[in-house]
Amino acid sequence: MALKPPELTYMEGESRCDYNWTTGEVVGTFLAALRDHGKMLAGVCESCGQVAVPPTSYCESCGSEVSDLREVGPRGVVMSWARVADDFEGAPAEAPFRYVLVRPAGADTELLHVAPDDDGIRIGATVRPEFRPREQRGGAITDIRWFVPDGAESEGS
Amino acid sequence: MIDVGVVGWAQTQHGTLERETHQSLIYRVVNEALSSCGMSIHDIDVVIDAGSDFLDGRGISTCITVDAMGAHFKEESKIAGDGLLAAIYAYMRIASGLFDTALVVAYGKSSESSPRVQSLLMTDPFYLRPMGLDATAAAALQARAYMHHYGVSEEAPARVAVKNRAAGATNINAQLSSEVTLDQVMESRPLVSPIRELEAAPVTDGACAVVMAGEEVAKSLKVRPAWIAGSGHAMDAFSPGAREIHKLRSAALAAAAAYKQAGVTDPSADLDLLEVTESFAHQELMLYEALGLCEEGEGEKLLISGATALGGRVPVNLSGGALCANPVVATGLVRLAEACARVADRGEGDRIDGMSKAMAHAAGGLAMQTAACMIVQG
Repeated sequence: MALKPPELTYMEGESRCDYNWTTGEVVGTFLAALRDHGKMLAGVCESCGQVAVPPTSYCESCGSEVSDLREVGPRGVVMSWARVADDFEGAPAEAPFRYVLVRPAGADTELLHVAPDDDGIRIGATVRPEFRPREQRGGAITDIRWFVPDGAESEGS
Repeated sequence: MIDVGVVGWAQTQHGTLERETHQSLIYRVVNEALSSCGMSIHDIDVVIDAGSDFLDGRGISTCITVDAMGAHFKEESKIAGDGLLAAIYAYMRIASGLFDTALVVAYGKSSESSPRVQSLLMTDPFYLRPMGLDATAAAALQARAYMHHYGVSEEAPARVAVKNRAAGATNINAQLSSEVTLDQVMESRPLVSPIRELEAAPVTDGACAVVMAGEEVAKSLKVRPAWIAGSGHAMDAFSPGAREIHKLRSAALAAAAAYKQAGVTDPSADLDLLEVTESFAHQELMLYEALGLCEEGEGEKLLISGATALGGRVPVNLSGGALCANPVVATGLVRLAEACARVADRGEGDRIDGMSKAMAHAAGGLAMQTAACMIVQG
C-alpha cells in the first residue's frame, strides 16, 4: 500500500548534556599557568625531545610520556592563518577575525588561536599573546585574548 | 589469506532527504545492495556499519539502526568513522577465513543538525573547542599552509571544483549536478578564507551499502565482483598544530600500505581511476601528492595537465567526488562503490572500458587527520 505524503515531516529536538571535564595534571598545569602567571607552558617529551604547546600528557609525535613542562614564547611565528568574515554562536572573537597557528619561540608545534583581522597577521610574521586582565581569566585557552603582531600597541594601552 | 570480492553495492540519491529517516535510508540501501548481487540478508554472516552518534543525536545509535540493517541475530560491529574503514574491517574478517560474507553499511543525515556544531564536537574540550574551530576553519588553515609552502595559485582549488562539478553533472546520485565556471567558483562567498563556498562540499544526507564475499561464495554468484587487491589505513596526530599541516602524511602511509599489498609500484600508471574524499577542493591537490600521483608540490601542475580529468592518464573523481555529494560517514564508502562500478564487468552501463584497477580513499577528522584506502580490480 502506498502511503500518502506525510503531514508531519520533522520534529524539533535537542541533545544536551553538561560535563565537568577532568583536565588531568598536564592540561591543568598549562591552564593554571595561563590564568595565574600569564605564561605558556609546553610539554617536553623525555624520549624524542619534542616541545609541544599546548601540551598533552603523552607525546603526539612518538607516544612517550611527557612529564616535564617548560615555558615557551611569549613571542611566536605565524605558520598559517584563515580569515573569518561572519559572526557565529560561540565564536572566540568578534568577526572579522583570523584563526592562527602560532609556533611560540622554543616550541616544535603550533598553538591554535585567534588574531585580529590585521594585514600584519601573515605566514612568517612574529606575534605575541595578549592576555586578558587577571580578573577576567578563568583557567582556559581563552585567557589569551588573541595574538597580535609584535610591535603592535595593545588595545587600550 | 582468502581472496575477497566486493559483490554488491548500492548508494542512495544524495541531498536533503526530507522523506527519509535514518532507518528508512539504511533499509532501502541495504536491500538494493543485496539484490544487486542476488543475495538475501540470510546469506550475510556479519554486518559492519559506520555512523556517528552525534550526527544521529543518539548514543550508541546502532541499537536503533541494527534492525533496518538486518543485523539482529547476527554479529554486528560499528565504526565511529567513515564507512571505508568499516569496509576494511569487513574485508579482514572474510580474508581471515572466519566469515564467508559481510554487509557494510554507512549512513549520515547531516541536514538534521548543524554541520558546524557537529565538527566542533569532534574537538577536545580544552584547546580547540573554546576556540570554535570547525572543519571549515581547520581546512582553511591547512589550505593556506599548503598553498604558501608550495606556491600554489589561488585558482588551483577552484579548478578542482570546476573539474569535479563537471564530472558530477553526469552522476545521477549526486546532490550538485550542475557545472560551474572558474569565475563562479572564484566569486563565490568566502566561508573561512581562503576557502570559498563552491570549494567546499555541500551538506548532504545519504547512505551506501556494500556486500563482500570470500572467493568461493563470490565465484558462485551470477555477477562478477570487484576483487579487493589491497587496503591501508593510517592516523595522524589529533592536534592540527602537532602535524605538518601542509602535507597529508596519514594518506601517504595508508596508500603505501595498499600499494604494497596490491603490487602497485607506480600509482599513476598502475591505477586506472581514483575516487578520493576531497571535502574541500585544495585537498584533492594534496591527495595527488600524498597518494603518489605526482611529486610533492606538483598537484596543481598535474591538475592543469588534464591527467586527472575524464580521458586523462589517471582520472580522479569521475563521480564528482565529495564536492558534489558529501554524506559524512558514508562519503568514503561511496567512493568504493563508485570505484567498483567502474572496474567490475557486470554488463551494466557504469563500467568504463579499459579500466581494471581503481582506488577508493576516505578521510576523517579535522583537516584530514585520518586516511583509508582500498584498491579494487575487475
